[in-house]
Amino acid sequence: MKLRSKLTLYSTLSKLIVLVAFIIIVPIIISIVSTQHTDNRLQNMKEKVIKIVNKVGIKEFLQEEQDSIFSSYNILKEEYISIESTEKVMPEVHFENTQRIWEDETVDYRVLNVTFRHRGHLYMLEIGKSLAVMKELNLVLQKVAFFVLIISFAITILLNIGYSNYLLRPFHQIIEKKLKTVNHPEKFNFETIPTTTTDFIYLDQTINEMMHKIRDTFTREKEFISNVSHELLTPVSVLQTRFENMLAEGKLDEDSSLRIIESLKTLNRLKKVTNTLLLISRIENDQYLKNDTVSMKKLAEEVIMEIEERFTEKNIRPVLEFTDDLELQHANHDLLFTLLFNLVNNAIKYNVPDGTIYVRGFPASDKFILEVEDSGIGISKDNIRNIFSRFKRVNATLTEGYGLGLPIVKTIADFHGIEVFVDSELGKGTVFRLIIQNIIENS
Amino acid sequence: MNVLIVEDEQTLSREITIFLSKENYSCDIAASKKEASEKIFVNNYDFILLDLGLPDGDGLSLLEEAKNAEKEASFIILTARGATSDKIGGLNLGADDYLAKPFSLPELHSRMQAITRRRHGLRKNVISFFGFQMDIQNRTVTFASKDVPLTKKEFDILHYLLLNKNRVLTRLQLTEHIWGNILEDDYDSNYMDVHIKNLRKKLSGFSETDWLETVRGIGYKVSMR
Repeated sequence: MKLRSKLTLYSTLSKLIVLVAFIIIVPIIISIVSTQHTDNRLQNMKEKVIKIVNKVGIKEFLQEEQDSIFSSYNILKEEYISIESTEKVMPEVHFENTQRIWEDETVDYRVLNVTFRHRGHLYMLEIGKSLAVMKELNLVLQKVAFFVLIISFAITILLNIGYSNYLLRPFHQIIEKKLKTVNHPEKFNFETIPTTTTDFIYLDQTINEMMHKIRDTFTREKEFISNVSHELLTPVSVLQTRFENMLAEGKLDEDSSLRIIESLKTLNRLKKVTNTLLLISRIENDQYLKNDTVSMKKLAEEVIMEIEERFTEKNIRPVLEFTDDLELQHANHDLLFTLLFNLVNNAIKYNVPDGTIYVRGFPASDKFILEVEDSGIGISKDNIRNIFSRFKRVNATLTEGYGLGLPIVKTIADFHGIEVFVDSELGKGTVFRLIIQNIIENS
Repeated sequence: MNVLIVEDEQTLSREITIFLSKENYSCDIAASKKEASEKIFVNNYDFILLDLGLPDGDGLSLLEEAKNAEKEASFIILTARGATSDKIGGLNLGADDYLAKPFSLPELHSRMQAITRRRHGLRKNVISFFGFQMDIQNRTVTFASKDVPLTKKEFDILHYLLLNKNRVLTRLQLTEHIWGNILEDDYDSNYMDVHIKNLRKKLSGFSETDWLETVRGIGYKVSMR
């Protein structure tokens, strides 16, 4: 998950938790506050009533009879007062929520109970305030609080996203402009990403420095390869032309001529080894372009055509089995040709006379498989590990080569992001399987 | 025809000179960029064989200079550096061909002949030999208007032998010409003999082929007097 998404997700979730907590707590707080507020008002009213009783006397409210009760409700039954004489002394002011039935109507009240003494008699005073009013008020308050919360929640989330986007922009620029586009150190974009965040400045600088180093190493290696090839191949060139001239002059006797021919073969071997090593280095140094679109089927046909005399010589039957084709994009045709040529050439070299070689191409889920299967001598399990190592010849007695065919295959495959697998059974044959990933891009 | 060999490796330019002189080219040698630059502006060459790695500068700039001065010479780049960018750069600047060192001398000669043919129109586009006609453009060989069915490789081998007539071509030289750019690792093979055998068989259906000689232990030769 991207950093930006993670940050957004985190801030949204944390705010959501806070919001839920508020939604749970706010009604409780509001009801506590409003109860307290009501209680205070009831207290005030109590003080007022006692004051009035003390001023005008209890008779205005109560008859002398023992159980008479004074009750007064206002018209909408929002409040009521009742006074009665009592024997019990209540130590303190007492509040409770209770129901009163009045004129066939049940009403919830917040009720204040208190006993007070007036001219030697104990009286119980009850003052009630309708809870319906309180509840209504609570509801309104809750709605307002909820609304304010939601709005502030939305605003802070938007601000958060905006700010983290702004803050992380240099970071994304580093990723998009630099890291994602780099496929070769020489094409790296060294421009400084504008930012005031020191961490990003440091990151940007470090990446730039590292790429500078990698680029320098690449350039030095390129120069080295170029120099080595010049220094090694120029003397070979001199010798080759000299030997060719000696042969062409025709002054040599037959024995000397044959020795010159042998020398030319040795030189050719030196040249091929050097060129092969240089080829591997150049591929690893990314000096080859990948501008071709290569049809795997056509490639297999070209290779078979090019190598046909070797099939004829050993009386080996090549079988092409393509259930589908792949037009591999961003590829180097000549290198892929070399890859497949080496595999097929190997398949011939290690095959038995009158054997068969299958070259198969078929899609497998989102990949394309290219197989070269021979009916040859096979490779033992111990040796399979070494076949892609340079200069390690597996069946040294049976080959005239110098063991660079398969390392080239591996290098070219890596260059194209192709995986190579080998299955082999001694005495039965070997399958080289190329797994090519490019099929999505293709369709 | 006049050839300028721009090459700092003196022994190599000498060997090229020896070979080309036999083919009736007159050769001039320049060992540095400065020397080459002077010679190009004083003389008119048909061919300039250009090494890119010169002690006093890049050979490519020499090519650019000569092209800007509207010199008629055909350029063949000879280099051991072998970087693909050099090749592309050279051909973009108007070089006619590109040969990686080490190259074989008959190969150089056949490339020069191909350029000559291109330059001087298509007049000499048919090679006649012992009653056969080889049409280079259409890649066909006929005998008395009848088609001689040759494979691509057989055609190339015969063509190469004809271009280097009266000269022994080794199996290696022929192999390199046909499979030049393939880095195969078994250098000693007799595939060439098989091709020559098939070629003789096909040609002998029309006429004698004793002009296609086997030089024992060395290679093959087309003798034409």
